[in-house]
Amino acid sequence: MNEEFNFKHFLMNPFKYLAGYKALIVGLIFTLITAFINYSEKIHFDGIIDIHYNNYGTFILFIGENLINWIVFSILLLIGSRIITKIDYRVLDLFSTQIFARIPLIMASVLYMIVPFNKFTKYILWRYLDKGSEIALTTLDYILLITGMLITFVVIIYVIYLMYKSYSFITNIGKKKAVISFIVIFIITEFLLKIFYLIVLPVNNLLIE
Amino acid sequence: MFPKKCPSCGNNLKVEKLICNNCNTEIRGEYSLPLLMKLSESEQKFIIQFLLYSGSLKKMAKKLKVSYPTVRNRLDDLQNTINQFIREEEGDNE
Repeated sequence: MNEEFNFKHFLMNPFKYLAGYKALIVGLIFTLITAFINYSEKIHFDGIIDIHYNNYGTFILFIGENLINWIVFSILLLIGSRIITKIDYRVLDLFSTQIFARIPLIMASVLYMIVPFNKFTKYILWRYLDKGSEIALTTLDYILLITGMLITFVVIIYVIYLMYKSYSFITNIGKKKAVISFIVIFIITEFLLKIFYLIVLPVNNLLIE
Repeated sequence: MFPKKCPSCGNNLKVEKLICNNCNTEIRGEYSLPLLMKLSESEQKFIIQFLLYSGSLKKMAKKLKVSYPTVRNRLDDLQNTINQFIREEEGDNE
């Protein structure tokens, strides 16, 4: 129980050392920084772990996307855990560790600043859909793209892992139940968020202009 | 460390003999270990720390430099273990 801090253990399960208000404050600070990068680079987190480039939106939208993804998923995890277990836990811990779990997404945002994803999108549009003007990709572009995509993939896997770890650790649900309920809630959340971002938000013109 | 499991087959051990250090009187019988003694060393340490921190999980977490849920989960696991022992004891008595 009284074990020394171990960085490897921290990476595998940071919530063993950090939860509650501390995790919430750190998570909110990183969310704000991520939203600022997203705003400057026009990167949208329009889904639970979706990352897309789209040249629209006010700063509020970029903060909103981060907060909505976190809050909706946390609320559904809370409901799910209350249905399948009677174990009592602090709701604050679930919400704070969920926002903390999203911190590595900042790396994906930073990568968008370095890797020419936008140029690649324009290239695909010109090459395969005959849209836009002619554009060529250099060898460096390809190297950056492949490295960027691989790192983004690893970051997304790690974020999902941390989200699961937060849920299973805070609720202390048995492994089998935790895995199944997490996957189900994850899919439901993605479905609800997609409806929100693709239908509700554009129809009501919320925060877009 | 006080042995609780048989080193040969892994079954729970029972107390057969108690001796008075003063007059060497021996009491023989078949006694089950008290519930708290059935717990592991780390579980017993946890209970002692829990009492020393007046049952405050927050204080415990702060002192042990771990998060509140870590201590909370440990308590939940301990409750499950104790409940299991109680059920086993009830089963033995029936």
